[in-house]
Amino acid sequence: MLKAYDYAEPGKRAELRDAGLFRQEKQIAQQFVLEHPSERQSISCPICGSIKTKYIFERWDVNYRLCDDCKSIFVAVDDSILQEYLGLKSMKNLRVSSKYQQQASERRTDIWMDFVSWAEYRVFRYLGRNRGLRVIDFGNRYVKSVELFRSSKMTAEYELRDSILPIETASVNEADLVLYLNQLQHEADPIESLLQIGKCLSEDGLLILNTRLGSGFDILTLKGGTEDIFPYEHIMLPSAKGLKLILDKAGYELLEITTPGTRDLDVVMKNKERIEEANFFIKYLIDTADCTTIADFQQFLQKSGLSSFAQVIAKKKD
Amino acid sequence: MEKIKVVIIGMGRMGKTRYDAMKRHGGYDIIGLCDTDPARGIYYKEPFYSDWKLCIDQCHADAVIVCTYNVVIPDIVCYALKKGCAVFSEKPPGRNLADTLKMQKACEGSICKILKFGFNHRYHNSVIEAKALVDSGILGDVVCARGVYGKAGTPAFPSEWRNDRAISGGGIMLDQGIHMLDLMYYFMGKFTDIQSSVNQLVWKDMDTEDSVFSILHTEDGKVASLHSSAIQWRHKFSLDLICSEGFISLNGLLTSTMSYGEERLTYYKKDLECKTGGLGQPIEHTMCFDTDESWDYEMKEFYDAVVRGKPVLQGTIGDAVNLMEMLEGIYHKNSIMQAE
Repeated sequence: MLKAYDYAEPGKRAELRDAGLFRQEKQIAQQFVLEHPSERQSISCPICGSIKTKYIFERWDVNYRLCDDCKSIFVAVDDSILQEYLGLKSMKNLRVSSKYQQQASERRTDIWMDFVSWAEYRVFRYLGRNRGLRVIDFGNRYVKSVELFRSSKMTAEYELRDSILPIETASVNEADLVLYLNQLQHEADPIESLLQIGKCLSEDGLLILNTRLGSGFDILTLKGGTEDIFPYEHIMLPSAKGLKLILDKAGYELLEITTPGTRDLDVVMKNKERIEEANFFIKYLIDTADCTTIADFQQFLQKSGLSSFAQVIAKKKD
Repeated sequence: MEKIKVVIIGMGRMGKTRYDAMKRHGGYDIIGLCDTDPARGIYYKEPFYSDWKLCIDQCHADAVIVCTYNVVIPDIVCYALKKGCAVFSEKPPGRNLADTLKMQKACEGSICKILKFGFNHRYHNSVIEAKALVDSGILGDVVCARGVYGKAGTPAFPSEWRNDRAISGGGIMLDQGIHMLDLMYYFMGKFTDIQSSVNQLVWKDMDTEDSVFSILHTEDGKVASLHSSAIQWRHKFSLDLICSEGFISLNGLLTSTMSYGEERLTYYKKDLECKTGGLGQPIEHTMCFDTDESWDYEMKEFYDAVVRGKPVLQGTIGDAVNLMEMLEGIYHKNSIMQAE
């Protein structure tokens, strides 16, 4: 099985978000969540169906639960509340604002360009071609990212679907490539969502998906202390095992799953006061390790499938 | 699954490797085995022969798998082709170009016309990924390459059959370096201008070389340097591909001994403006692999050629002829080889 990691010299990574804008996003989400508490009582795992789930952490009075069987983390939230959250006008206005888009563009363009390049490579690897593709991009909320995918050498037709962005694109009925990037995190029923997505994928088409993983180092180490995990933006944090299960149940053959996340250690170091007292080793590591050791540790997480960011390529089962 | 009837000639280490891969595949019906050492037969339930001709004549196989010493490869391959069998043979394709050309002629004159040589390195996961990476176009064209393939050696190394030139035809270059040459040829095309230094640097009493340094040029100006070594004193595999827009490095190779280190592919894009990292430190992407399916991929391709009429893609007789022409170019400069 393919294992992969990215390597950058320690200390080179810029913040992905503007702190002020991110604070605003969280404030909007928090206000909504406090006004719309999670009402669903069902606590079975939405991925494997196990009823062996337990409380793992709480954020804004919303309980995150950990499945004992597939080790995924989820929030049981009423669907109507979730839909209302996803359609929240104040959040949408913030995210489509030129300031938000400009900040994202400045901080992430190089990462997106690298990702497009990676996608061109991996698509060629599995399809034997990376030109003339029909692409559907689900939920992309960044103008620059849309531009980059749209203008990629591999893209012949491009449709932006289910996005908050006011961008008109052509309609693609059947896609050679579906992009489902950072969408799984706010899916209450990820299996059903991917089943639906599969309907617009051609027989040999590819699904490229990325998502935060509940089995990742920073999330499990900090539990509720992870600043960038909050309801109802993040209600589904599958483990690597859970992610494989979702794909299998939704009718996909997994071609590769890697965890090339680069920020687990950064996140933990930034929130080190939130590491539980009993977690002696991690506290010791974070307090004493030099930047090379930290970088090596991140590489180990990436290679071992233990980073909290996963990248998946899959196709529909024959 | 449709079965093809096969016999394996030569049941040493490679014969067993092919036997196991064919069993895993499931489409091969192994109806006969042959080795000059009858003691090897006790490990198998299939009919066992000590005479390869008898084995081919009596078994009426669809395909013959040749895993013998180099010296007998051409005779067995030509005989099997003449009998209408498809043939899969281990590398090298004979001891020299004359051997390979003989097999080419036999293949052209055969009914079946299926002849494949075992260059399994092309089927290693890192090589498959590197080929896709190059062909994807994101790193531009391969313009030059550096390759090192080295062995640790053993106390008995000089007296191994591989270093008996009458049997093998050459030393470390023909035995192991040919894989590196094949990979360079795979990524860059045929080398037409070859300079080399073929030496006995340490194993002075051996019949063959222990070290080859070669600089190779293609017609369109690509350059490669190849070092094939029996005096690395450990196992080492390293191939760098420098592209017009980036760089690929293959390091380590998964083998049964696990002694060549973790199989890894690292690549990065040219970043003159230091956008992805600091000066001289572009962001690298690395892939690692923990399985070696090369033998399985290879036997699948051969099966598909025989049963489904698909073309042989890797290790064709055309590849074999090109490789042996390049090897002759390398050995041509060799004072050891020219002495006789």
